[in-house]
Amino acid sequence: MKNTTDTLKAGEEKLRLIIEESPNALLMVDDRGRITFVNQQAEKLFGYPRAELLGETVERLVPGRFSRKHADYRADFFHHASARPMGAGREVFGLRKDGSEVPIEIGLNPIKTDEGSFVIASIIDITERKRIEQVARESEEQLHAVLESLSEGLVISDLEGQAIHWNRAGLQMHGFSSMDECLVRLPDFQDIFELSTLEGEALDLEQWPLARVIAGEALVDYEVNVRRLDREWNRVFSYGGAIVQEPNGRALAFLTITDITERQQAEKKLRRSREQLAGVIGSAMDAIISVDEQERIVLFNNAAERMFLFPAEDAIGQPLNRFIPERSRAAPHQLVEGCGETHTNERSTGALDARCGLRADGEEFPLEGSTSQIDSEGLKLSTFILRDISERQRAEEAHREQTRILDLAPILIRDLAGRIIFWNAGAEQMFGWMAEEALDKISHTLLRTQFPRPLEEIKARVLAHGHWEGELVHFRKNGERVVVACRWVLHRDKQGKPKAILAVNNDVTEHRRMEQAERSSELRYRRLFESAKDGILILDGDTGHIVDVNPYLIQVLGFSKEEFLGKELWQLGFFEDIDASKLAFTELKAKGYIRYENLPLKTRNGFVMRVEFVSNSYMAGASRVIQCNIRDITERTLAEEKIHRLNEELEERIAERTAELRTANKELEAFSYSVSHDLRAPLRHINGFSQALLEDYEDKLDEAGKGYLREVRGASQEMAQLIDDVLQLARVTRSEMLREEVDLSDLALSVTTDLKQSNGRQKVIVKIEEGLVTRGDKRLLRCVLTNLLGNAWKFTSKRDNPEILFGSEQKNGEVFYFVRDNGAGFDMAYVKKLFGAFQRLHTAGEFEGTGIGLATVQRIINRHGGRVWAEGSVNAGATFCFTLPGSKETEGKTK
Amino acid sequence: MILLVEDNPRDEALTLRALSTNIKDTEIVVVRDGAEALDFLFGTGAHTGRDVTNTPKVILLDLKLPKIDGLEVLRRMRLDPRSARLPVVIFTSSSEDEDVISSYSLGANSYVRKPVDFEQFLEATRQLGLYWLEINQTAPPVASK
Repeated sequence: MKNTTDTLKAGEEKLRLIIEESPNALLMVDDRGRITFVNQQAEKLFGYPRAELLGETVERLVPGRFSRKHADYRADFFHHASARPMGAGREVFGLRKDGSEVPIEIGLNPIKTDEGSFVIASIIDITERKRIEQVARESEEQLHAVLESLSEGLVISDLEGQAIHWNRAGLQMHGFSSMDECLVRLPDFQDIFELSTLEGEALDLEQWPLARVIAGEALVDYEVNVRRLDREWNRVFSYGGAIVQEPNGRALAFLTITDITERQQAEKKLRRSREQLAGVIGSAMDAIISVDEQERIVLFNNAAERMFLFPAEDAIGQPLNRFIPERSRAAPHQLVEGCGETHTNERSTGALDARCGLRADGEEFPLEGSTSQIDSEGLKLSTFILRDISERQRAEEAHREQTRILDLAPILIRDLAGRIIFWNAGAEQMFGWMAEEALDKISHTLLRTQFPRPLEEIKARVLAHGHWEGELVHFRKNGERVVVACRWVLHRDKQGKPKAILAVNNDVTEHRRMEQAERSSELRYRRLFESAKDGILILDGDTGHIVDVNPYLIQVLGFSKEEFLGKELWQLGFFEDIDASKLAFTELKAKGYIRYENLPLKTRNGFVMRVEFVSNSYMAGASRVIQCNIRDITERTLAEEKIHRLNEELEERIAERTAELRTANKELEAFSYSVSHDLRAPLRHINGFSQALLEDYEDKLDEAGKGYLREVRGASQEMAQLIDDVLQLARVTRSEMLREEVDLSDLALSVTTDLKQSNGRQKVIVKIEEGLVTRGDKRLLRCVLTNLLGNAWKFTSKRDNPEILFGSEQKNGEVFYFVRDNGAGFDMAYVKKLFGAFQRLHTAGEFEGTGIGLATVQRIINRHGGRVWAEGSVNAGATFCFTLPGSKETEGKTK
Repeated sequence: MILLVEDNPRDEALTLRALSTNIKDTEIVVVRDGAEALDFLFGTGAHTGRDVTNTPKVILLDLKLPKIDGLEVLRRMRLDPRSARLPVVIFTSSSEDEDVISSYSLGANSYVRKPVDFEQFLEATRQLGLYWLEINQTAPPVASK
């Protein structure tokens, strides 16, 4: 039992704590309106300690203005007790102890216990909620005010396309007077508006701004042409928009609208004026070129293209200098700089007048122009307006020229009576009379004019026809005769009555004289043409037709003149190769000159003659003429051919001979070789065995027999020497020459040394000139000196005071060398035999030798291109001389 | 040993006479053409089985020879190690520059023109014998394989 009580007590305590700590204020009131329970929150809410409230009627907590009613409501509640909120739909306030009111919400719960009926009031302070609701209300109002005051239009619609709200600007912009007209669904707007692109293309409904926003697009600057169907109303709007999620989760489409009709029109206007400007620039007669600060071209109009012969697309970006001749390039640069400093808008530039432009084809031309400077969007542009004045200058020049010419042409005017009333400078110059002398004089008296026919007749003709032309002879003041080609023109007054005669005179005296000269010159050339012994053809330079042919060619080729005339060269058939002739004519036209050294021409009777054909093209007066000169070279050609043939034969023959010679040389070589081997061997054997006989059979041979054997041996040795000499002679002829610089002095010294050694004669005096240098084959020249010095050595062997001299001398500007001795000498009668092979002037008994040495010397000297000769007399010594091309003059000294 | 390569029997007789006058106790072998000369040196042909290490102290070689001429003999000798270093004296009638140059180019040790005069001939062979047999030192023979 006690446990139960404890349990109850514990439960009650728990319940009490819950109630006490509840966030809501709780009051318990009995059916008489007395407060029986107050929790902590209630104390706080109303500002009373609970002791002050317990037992008090609840109306104490109700503001005075509600308290009466409250008592009635309370009594009523107890009759129909149910759990419900108090004061549904009304605002309920509590009264605090301090007299202030607090907005509250109250929930009522009826309780029946043993002690009677009670109601528990659960009270929440809603001051804060009220405040938040107030703020929200206020901000919504503010937002609304903002939207309403926006100059941009705003339309809010739900995602079904139902318009929910239009702001004032939106209404106004679309021509609505109240919201009622336009809170409709999107498709219904089609009855009011027609939307199209700026280009005028109608927009389907799904392309309408609102439709696109609803479709989920974030719309920015969607420019649309809007027209109302019910009236004359047309605007251009720029739409923006997006879907916006409201805090309560509802999604709405917001569409903003800006009226850009005016801007649009302004832009259109601007575009149009720009196009107009471009049109003006493009079609301007003057070249217009704009350059930036770097002088790079940014604008180049059609006229500029034509003027500079340069396409605009290529000109853009090019430096302006590109169109100015090099020598004046600095000038426009300065011009641009100068403008930049002044910031003037326009500046006429007389300085440009004398300037030149440069066309793409390199032509320079004079131009004048002006330049202006514009600061456009931070870009400094210089614009040049240029005019090509070359035509104008030409025209001016022509005009000046005309005036000058007019003054040059002698003009006089006389009245119908013949009195001179006008006399210009040209007339003064032509006739020698000054104007003051000539005026008022009768012209044909002054000038002693000779008329080709009576003056009266000419005058009548002028009066009838208005003019007359003819040649007149006048006399100058100084008496000189002057022939004039003259044109008379009748001058009438305003009524058409003949008034005066204007005479323009042209001095043709010289012309007439020239004509005369030409006629005689023409005659001379004609004679030449007709008597020439060369054929001459004259062709029309343009058509190639023969216009003249001289008698010689007619005679040689056998065609008549008529057959020639009017035809082309190849039509005549005397040109064998017609295609080549046509080609030649084309070539002639291009080059003006053509020449064939040897052209075959067929005469009428088929004979082929060889000709030299020279053709010239030249201008005779105004027409082009081709002159062909044709020379018969048949004879010459035949002679040339014969020479050519002979030459060929000769060459052939030489080639044959050369080949033969080569073979012969080869044979000789082989022969020499076998001679050197095969002839010597038997000699050696003869010699050897003779010696063997002498040794082995000494005792069996008497002195005579031994002597014979010695002769056999001697003969064999001699023959061996002979063979060697002959071989050397042969070798000298065939061996290859090796030309180099040779010191003959050194060579002679070396040969002499050899001679001294091999002969043992020391008393010979040998004098050698120093520094004898020449060019030649050293080996062969050594052979020469060996032979000559050897001979000298040999032939002085019987002298007591042998002397040999080697030196050089000059004769007729030619250097020659000599070997002179004081030896046996020779008889000049036999001098021709001296250089022949195997020729000897001495017996073997007197002087040994084979007679080949000098022959060898001659061959060597001849092979060097020099000469060799000898002088001497019996017992008075001999001198052997030779020349060598390439020898230098020396001031040698004899050693 | 002297090897004389000489086809002309008269030359052979005169040479042998000249050599024997001046040189004693030295064997003189005579072969009569180029082919036989090579056979002798390499132990081939008619000379098969010859002890090729027994080499001549000098070879007197004529240029104009039957079958294989002197220059070719020289060329082949110089190609074979067994004969490459043997002294070769060209002993000939020719004094053509071309022959002299070719001989030395192919490795001849000496070039002697046979004098026509027999006394000079004797003197030449005497000097040859003296020089090549007594003064000159030959290379040691190459061991046979």
